[in-house]
Amino acid sequence: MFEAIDKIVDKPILSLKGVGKSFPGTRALDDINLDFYEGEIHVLLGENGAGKSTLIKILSGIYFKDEGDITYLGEPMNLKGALDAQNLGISVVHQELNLCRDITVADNIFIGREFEKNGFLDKTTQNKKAKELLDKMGLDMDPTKLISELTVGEQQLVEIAKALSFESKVLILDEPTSAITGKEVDTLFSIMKQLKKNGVALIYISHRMEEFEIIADKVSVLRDGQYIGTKAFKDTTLDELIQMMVGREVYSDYPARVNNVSNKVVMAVKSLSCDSFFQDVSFELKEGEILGISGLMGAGRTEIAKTIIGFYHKSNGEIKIFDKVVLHPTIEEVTKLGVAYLTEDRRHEGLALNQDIVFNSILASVKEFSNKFGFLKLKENEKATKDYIKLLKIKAPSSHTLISALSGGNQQKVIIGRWLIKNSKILIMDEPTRGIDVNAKQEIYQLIRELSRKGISVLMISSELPELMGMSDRIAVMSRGHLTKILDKKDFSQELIMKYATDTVPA
Amino acid sequence: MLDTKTLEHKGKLNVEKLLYKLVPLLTLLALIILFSILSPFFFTMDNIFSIIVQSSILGMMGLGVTFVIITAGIDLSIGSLIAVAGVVMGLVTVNMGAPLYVGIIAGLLFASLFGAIQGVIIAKLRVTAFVVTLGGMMVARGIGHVATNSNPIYIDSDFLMSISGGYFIGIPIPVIIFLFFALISHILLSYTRFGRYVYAIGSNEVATKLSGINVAKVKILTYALCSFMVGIGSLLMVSRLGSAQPTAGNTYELLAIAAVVIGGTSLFGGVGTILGTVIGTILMGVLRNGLNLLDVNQFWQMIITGGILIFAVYIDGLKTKE
Repeated sequence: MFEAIDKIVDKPILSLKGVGKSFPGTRALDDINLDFYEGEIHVLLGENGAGKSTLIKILSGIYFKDEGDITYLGEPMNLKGALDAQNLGISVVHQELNLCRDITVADNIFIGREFEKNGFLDKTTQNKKAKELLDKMGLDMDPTKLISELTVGEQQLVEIAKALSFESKVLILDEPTSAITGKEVDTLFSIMKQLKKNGVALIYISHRMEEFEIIADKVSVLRDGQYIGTKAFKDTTLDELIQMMVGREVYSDYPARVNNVSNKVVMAVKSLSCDSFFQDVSFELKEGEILGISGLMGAGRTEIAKTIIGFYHKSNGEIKIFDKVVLHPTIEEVTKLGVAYLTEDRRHEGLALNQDIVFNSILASVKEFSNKFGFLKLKENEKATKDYIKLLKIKAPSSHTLISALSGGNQQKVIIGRWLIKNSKILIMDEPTRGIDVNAKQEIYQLIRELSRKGISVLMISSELPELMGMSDRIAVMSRGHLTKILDKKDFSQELIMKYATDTVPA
Repeated sequence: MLDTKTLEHKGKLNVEKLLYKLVPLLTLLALIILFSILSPFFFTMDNIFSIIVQSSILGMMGLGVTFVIITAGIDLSIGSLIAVAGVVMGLVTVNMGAPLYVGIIAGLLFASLFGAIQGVIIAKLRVTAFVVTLGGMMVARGIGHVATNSNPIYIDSDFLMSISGGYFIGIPIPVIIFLFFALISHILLSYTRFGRYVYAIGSNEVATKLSGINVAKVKILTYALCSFMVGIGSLLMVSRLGSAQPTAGNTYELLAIAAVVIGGTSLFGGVGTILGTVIGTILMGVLRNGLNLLDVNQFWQMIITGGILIFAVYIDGLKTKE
């Protein structure tokens, strides 16, 4: 077991001064000042895109800072790569697991640093060392077990053991509890507390505010790549932290609604569940309405969309589209009824990348654009595409330009065009402005507003609160698989949305 | 401004890409010129026809598997299937005494059904195409041997002989059959809904599915169509040999896939043309024929063909690299 180290720590082990990082077109981090101390659990808090991941990647040698100074153990630190960080004693447990499933726990812990005897692997020593490490963490785990035999939570703990085997002085945990359950979370926390006693500096990233009470010593908030501030947890409140997180003003330049939403319900979802993704979700979408869906990563927003369109199979509940109850939705049927899903991941789920604009525009309407013998009406394909290139102001040299040569905004417009050509009445838009530059975003907003004016209903999933608040008529907030609240426009506030998005109990 | 600049840049790349696309054709022309210089027998009408006649069996397989590869799938069973489809023709005609045309139809039906079943396993049960058709290759080969006790079935028919030996307006009939089905395949791929779906699935299967297209149905049809083409190839083969042989077509699947790949069809799917496959097939035929004329021994021929295959895929990689 660990021995408690009682010493007064006054110098930070890891210190950032004015650290900044830019990517083409975006300022990911700007003037970040943070101090991390030994024997302290320091929470990093911020919305999606606030810059937490970039910061971690800089600290772990995956990205390089553009400016600023990092001091580690009193010396300036300039990492050359991920291995460099590990050797210096800075380890990261990433959100997604990076273990080889078909080899043992011990093999994974010492991968790349295998024990050898006479040129052969020395499994005995390796297993013994692994066992010592696991015991030290207070874990009763057999190091010869295969990773694939462990639960996700146990795998997470193996990741931590692996990180500790480098004798880390700084351990960064990136949302380690997003995939594990109550008892495993308890184990994780007790291990974290033990590490803290042993003098390790822990940097903990999580959205789950209720966890902070158990473990947090300090909380630092990032927002839009900026450092907002650091609070000792006992001196602050969750409300203050939320305020710090979302602080910015809602931009006023979202195109305003010019007409009233009708009362006609075009889609009704009742008590919809899909296994472990989300449970008991109900809402109605009206004609011409823009219904925003908010929630943190992993809240189940995309899963709801994909279940409605039949990409995932619902385990319970009812979906009604234009007065038709769809018992077992299939994508073919739902699309025919006029519902379209516009993916958050255009590259992998939206675009036929090695094809041209015409091909991509007609993709959902090939049947309508071919004759009864199955021959394509090539001229009509071309004409419809050109019409929409003009209507949606898609910038491209010709309708036969490869889709991969277009900018993100223009690609998104082609996909919107695809469903307008199909004459869809309900658009489910998942992160419609992701990967799109500011000007193109404005055009997409204008377009969405215009469509809603024409009676097209939009279910808009977005992680960007300002855009969601600027565009939506109502916002449904999700927290961990539950719809916790549907807010009317007059009640929109970032604080309120964030409160419901981090709620544990559904209202 | 910036936009147009990058687009112009892409335009230049397109010229480069076009050149890469012409590589199979240019290679073919280079080989023809080379062999014409090296051998006086090479560039004669008779020899050219004989190259295409000899290529037609592999060519039919190549046409079929082009569809499959464009969907980002693969079919390894076609070499065995070409034998077993012939065996079915032989069994129905000789052993059951049915008229020849019934035998031919039975063979084609058997092949198509075999492909459809593989398609169902791939699309509905979601087993990888590689594994399903590798298994299918063994199953088909086994069926051929079991059904014939490993003996060839001799089919005595003037009509059958006339298919491989006959001419129509001075052109060998196998050449006409191959080019006819190449034309049909080209039309299917480029001008029909089905062809559009084949490219779409190979380009991005999820996007295709999310567009409301029944991906499973298209895939099953694709594998059935591929096997049907193999059935036609089987007919040409039986006609040429005068018999159905359970051992025929061994490793042909790999030669056919090689021809398709040399013709510029990408194993990653979404990219490929029938014209490319025709060129790839003839290129391999020209190579074999020319090297034979030059008395290069067959093992050296294997080495050269293998080298060209790898070179072709390397060029293909350059084409798609940004």
